[in-house]
Amino acid sequence: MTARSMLALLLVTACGGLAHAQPMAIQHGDVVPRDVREMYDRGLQYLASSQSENGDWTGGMEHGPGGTGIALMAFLASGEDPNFGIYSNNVRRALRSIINAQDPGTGIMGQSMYHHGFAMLALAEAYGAVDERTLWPDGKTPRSIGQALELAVRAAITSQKRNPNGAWRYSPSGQDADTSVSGAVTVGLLAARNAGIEVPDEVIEKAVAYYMKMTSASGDVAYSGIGAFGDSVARTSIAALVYSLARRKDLPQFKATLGYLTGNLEQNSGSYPEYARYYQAQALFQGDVPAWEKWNKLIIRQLKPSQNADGSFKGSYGPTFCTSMSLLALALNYKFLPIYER
Amino acid sequence: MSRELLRMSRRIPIIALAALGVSTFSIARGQTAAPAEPQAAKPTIYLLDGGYIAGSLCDSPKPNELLWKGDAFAAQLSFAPWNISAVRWPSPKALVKPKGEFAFETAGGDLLFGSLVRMTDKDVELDVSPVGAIHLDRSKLKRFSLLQPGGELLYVGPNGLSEWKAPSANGWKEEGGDLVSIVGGSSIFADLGVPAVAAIELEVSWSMKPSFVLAFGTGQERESTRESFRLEVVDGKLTAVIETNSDADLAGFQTVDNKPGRAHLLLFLDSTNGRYFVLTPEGRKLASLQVSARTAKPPGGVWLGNALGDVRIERLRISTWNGILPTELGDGTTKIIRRDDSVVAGEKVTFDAATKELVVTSGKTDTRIKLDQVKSAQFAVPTVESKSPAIRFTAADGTRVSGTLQKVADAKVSIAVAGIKETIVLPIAALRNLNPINYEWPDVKVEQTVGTLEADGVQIKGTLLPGTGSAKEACLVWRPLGSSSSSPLQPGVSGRIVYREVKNPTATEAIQQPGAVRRVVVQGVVRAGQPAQYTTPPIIDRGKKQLHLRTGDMIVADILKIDEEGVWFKSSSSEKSFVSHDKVKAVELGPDVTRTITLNRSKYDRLLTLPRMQKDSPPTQLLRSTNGDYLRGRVVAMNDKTLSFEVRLETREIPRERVARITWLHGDELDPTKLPPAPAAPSGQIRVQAIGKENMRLTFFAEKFADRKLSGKSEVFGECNVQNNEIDQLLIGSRIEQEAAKLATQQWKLHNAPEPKYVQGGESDAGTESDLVGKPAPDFTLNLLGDGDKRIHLADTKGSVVILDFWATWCGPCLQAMPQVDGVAEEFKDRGVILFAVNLQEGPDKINALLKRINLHPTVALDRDGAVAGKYKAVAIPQTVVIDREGKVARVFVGSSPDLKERLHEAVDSLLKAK
Repeated sequence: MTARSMLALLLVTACGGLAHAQPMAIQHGDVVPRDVREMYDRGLQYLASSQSENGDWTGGMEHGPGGTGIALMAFLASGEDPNFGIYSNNVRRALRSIINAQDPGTGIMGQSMYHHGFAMLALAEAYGAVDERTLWPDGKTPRSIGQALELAVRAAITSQKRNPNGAWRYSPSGQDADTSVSGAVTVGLLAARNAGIEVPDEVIEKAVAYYMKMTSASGDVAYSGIGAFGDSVARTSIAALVYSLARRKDLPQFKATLGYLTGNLEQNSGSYPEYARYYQAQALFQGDVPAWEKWNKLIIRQLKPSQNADGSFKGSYGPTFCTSMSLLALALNYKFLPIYER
Repeated sequence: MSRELLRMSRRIPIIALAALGVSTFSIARGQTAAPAEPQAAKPTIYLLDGGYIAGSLCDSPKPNELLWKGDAFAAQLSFAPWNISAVRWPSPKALVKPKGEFAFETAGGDLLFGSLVRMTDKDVELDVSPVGAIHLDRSKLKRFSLLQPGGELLYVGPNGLSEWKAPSANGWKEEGGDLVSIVGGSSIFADLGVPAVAAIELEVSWSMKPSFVLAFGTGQERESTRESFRLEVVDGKLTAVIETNSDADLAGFQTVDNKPGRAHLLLFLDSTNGRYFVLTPEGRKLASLQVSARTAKPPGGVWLGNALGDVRIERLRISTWNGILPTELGDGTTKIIRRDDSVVAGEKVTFDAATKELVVTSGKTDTRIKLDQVKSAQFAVPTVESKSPAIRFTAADGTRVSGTLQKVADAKVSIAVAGIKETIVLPIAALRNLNPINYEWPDVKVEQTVGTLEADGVQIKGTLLPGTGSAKEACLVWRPLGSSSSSPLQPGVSGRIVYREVKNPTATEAIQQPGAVRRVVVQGVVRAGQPAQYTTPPIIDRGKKQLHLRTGDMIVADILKIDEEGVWFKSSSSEKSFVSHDKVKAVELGPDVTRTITLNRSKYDRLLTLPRMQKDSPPTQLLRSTNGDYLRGRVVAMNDKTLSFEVRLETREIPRERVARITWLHGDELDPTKLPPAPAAPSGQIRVQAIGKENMRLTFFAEKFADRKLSGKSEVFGECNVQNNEIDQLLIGSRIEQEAAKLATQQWKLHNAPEPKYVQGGESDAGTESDLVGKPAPDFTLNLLGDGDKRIHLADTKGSVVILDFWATWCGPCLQAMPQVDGVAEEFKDRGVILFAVNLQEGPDKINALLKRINLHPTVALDRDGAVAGKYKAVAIPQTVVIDREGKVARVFVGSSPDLKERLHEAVDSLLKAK
């Protein structure tokens, strides 16, 4: 972790630190705003208390391995020790639930590629961080985290190969594609690659090409099909994040999406605010740290009043998904997850 | 005694205003000014000085005591008849017709309806409604007459304003069912079905100056009153007037001057024979007019106009008339008039109950007349105008009884009437009016600060007495001037006590430029707001150190610091030193402002418009610098040196000495329905706001009033003790919020930018929806861009098809539209089509630079003050107006869309083809 933080610091300094000396303190990672810590702790307590015995979160709109994956990410991102910390049991239960939900034949996790993508991301972030020796209480391991992740990656690649757009849609065998589902899968693949799983360059290139095609000069990103552009903070953030994680900041499409985001920091996040903020946080952090810092102040202010007394967050999805997504929008303040590396 | 940190006395020198000395209020009779706004729908008691209290008359065993339970009061108040001018009950919804065979009138002017049972030399037994059998001293019976002598009652009123229309400025109101106007030049009208041959009873009064026109048998228009029968004040005389096309007649009959006065009249109108009469209730003829007969049936309306004075219509009864005038009874002799109008005179009349005959004795001759043949009877009794004090009760059916109030019990009044053996008992429910008459009006001695209490249905002078609050009674105990009793206010009451009128802080920031247009760029269209209505925001006095709260509270305070939680301050008016952000409205930091700022209207509007993209991140404060600049953002913190201020998510450090004022912009102000409710007062307390000198205001929960001091606790400032004589006004309950909303400081509120009106391409917007279409194009003259004084006068372009393209350089969509519009104009220019690109409120340099950039050169007309845009209702630009050869508006296109060219082309083409 230390090494990663150092790396993040160096990169940040190189990118934009010179012009913005004053907010640097936050980037050192040692000052997490009190509001964030308080909100995050209460949010995790809510997630811990609402987790089922099987490790998933039932009753919400996003029930399934994707929802479980997002919640697991919220735990992993907090910096609590996943093996010995107070939430280590919750982490293990969630991981077991995801692995148990994987189809051993196809490798697909959950009802849609959304679930698959988010669950794959969570596996990638847990891989190497969670001690497999204590993961399964009875010692019976269906497959290790690494095996599950590898299987999931292969499933995603298979799905992309069959897709004429070189991207993904809800169904693994879908013939069209959209930038929202594809975001979940692409980010999951990039995380897996970061974690050391082999993901062929061609796969990432095809996905990036799809996003390039879907990005307009103004930074708008279309949802599905061609040319149906429109304001969407969520889609623009997804594309910007994909370009960043794929190390393609050289692309004019990346500059367009980032420009859109930094130029509209105060823009409300549209119809799916929790979903949008989840990506907006990462896209801004990866793209422009000073802009992320400004945005971060705003988001703390906005999220604070939307947290319920029980620690969950108000929003347009079920409480689990809203809480996980809202926490992850704040999680960049901790900078613990590998996927947050710049 | 608790700490008195919040003593206003330290800051406010005592203003001597009859505060502690004894002053005397003399209230002369007739000074009764028209009360301001009592509620017509509720029974209301009126005091001599014009004050009133809505409520109800309560049981009282004591003679001549009126116990009144005001709705705003917790206890009953006691009034003597000499304290009040009237009690009025709302008029019944439906016509209440008197019951019985005859109307009996007494020598004292009372009126009873019923039947004759017995009549001897000594007394008369009557069965009257709703009282029952009564015995009337024979010397008191003046006359009786058939209840409906040849006429059918059509209307009894007035019954409040609801049945009236106001054709001109509505300066009329209702008071206890009466119609009152104190606004000159106002009139009302109702079609009450006045027949062609009509009998009308009218009681009208005025308190200052009679100057009215009352027209009967008229239409609604002022013009049509000319041919109707009118009562007018002409040359200081009440005058009856009738005019026809060929002749006119008028007769003045009662001198009136600029003093309170009244008239009770019987009007007989016979338009079929051109005869019109005005009589006294006793049948004395006051005026008799004759004009040529009217052939057409006149309209049945009544038109009441107040020309220059004040007027009150108290009674209006309309019935049909058989054309025979009541026989004048005023000669004082005893006589019976039969239904065939034959008269039987005599010295003595008795009633033979067995044969139901009246026996008229003249000399030695008795004439017997069947009662059912009698139209009216008059008796030679002395008419003495009674000077003795009494209360006159008037019932909804017209029954009128004057006497001494014996008691009120079981919702009935018991009245002892001179000359009637029995006590008259009338249900309160049947009453319309109660008026004390012939009382000596007392001088009222005042030993306390007199204020006026205003609440729902209450406006009344009086004094505050010591009191302690309880669950059912507020600690504010009010003793109305003239009442021997007092009552605590209801704890939930809303209103105010006015000791001195308060002047609100005056505005020094002039907001002008009425033609300015609010501009907000939205997708496809730039919307420009209608000139908004708002109160001019103020600069509060310069160099002041003040803390203003959202409740309107204002104290003089040093602002120490501001942090995340709120504002820290130091004030001799407060024992506390902190207030949270959600309660603060503004702070004045004290530095002198070096120049007067002119905040024009568009700047003001822009300052307070919240762009759509900032909806989730609205600014929370507005700074005003010492030199008059404004900046929106968010106060992060402030200490004695520096203000940290976040603007567009970036924090700036501003030296504190440059900041004159910080105004808080609260999110809930954007949506008035989301305003937090006012805090409820704890039991036994009442929420008040004391307004003192220099508009200092303190809101607190008052617990008690003792030693002329109101004490309680403020949620923000802690203990409060306020001397009564230092209070200019005391606001009570929700009135606090109502008054706060009017304060200048509170006018600084954000408003949302308008939501976009997406102009959808290809939709059926043919440009014909505007209400300008089809109307003559508003004419104008404008200077043209370019050398010299070239002007365009629209009227000179008649015969051409003219396109007006309203635009501005800052309007993106306008620049999209302009090439399309220009293209169409260019195409048709040889066929008499002229384009003027009407620029809104910009200078030539800006315009030239822009045109050069987009490489277009239309003829630009300069609408420098936005007046022409206003005429063409260009609230959103681009707006493209097409004017036909006749000078009429043919099309109005708003916004830019890809197919604008097509639609404009079609429009111009069709206009050209039409010729």
